[in-house]
Amino acid sequence: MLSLTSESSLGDVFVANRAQLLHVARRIVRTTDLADDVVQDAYLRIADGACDRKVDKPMGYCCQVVRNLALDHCRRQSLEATYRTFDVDVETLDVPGPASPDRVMRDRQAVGLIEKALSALSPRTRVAFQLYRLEGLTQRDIAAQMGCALGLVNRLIAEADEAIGAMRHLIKD
Amino acid sequence: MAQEQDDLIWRTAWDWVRREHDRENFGEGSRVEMVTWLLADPAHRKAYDKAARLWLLAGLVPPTIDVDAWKKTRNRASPEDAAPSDDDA
Repeated sequence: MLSLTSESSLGDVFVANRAQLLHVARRIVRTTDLADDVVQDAYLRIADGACDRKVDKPMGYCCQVVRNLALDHCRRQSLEATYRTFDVDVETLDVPGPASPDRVMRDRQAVGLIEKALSALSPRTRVAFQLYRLEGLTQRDIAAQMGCALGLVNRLIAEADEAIGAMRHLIKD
Repeated sequence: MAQEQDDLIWRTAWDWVRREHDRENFGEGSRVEMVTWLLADPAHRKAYDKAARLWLLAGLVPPTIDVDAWKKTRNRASPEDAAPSDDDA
């Protein structure tokens, strides 16, 4: 058993909690095989330094990466399934190949720049964004947690999304 | 003109990606509507793929704020208040 200290890298934390992370992925993608793929992808990103600063809650961050990759996986699958009902050749769909070192580096830079853009927003907006996108709460639950109206939560999240959308130039073809 | 068209396509693609994330409220009807739009023009699909990628990367940003600490200071300040005045702290 690995003993984890505050000096443990994100990769160490990930490996030590792999079973729990698999569970997080499986709840979203449903099958063990797919969950394995997602966790592997998440591990590569984290080991490659998906973010290069120290994270306060390493396990929380590992869960976040797994959850968001799993959601992306589901998104792609649902899209593919709908394309099939349209009789469209799913081969034409964008399937991201193995991440090249160049791509990993560009992704890491993009994550850093998005973080910078988000950091400029009000604390309240960042809290709403974090609960919604990073922790996966519903907007209703966020309203309860933040003690404010659902409509306000909706606006705060829209504000954060607007700031992220403005970073579209970061995504190259 | 081309730029305006491009911006409109991006905005639509970005909206679809945002809506799609709200899985409980994104039913089969919405999905069919979205795919109809995606298939209408290769530029739509291209913008959508970029938007989905940006969306994913935003989901990989580590937390920029400590939510628990925020709740505590907020509760101390005034539990009912959701006014913007507590934002500048």
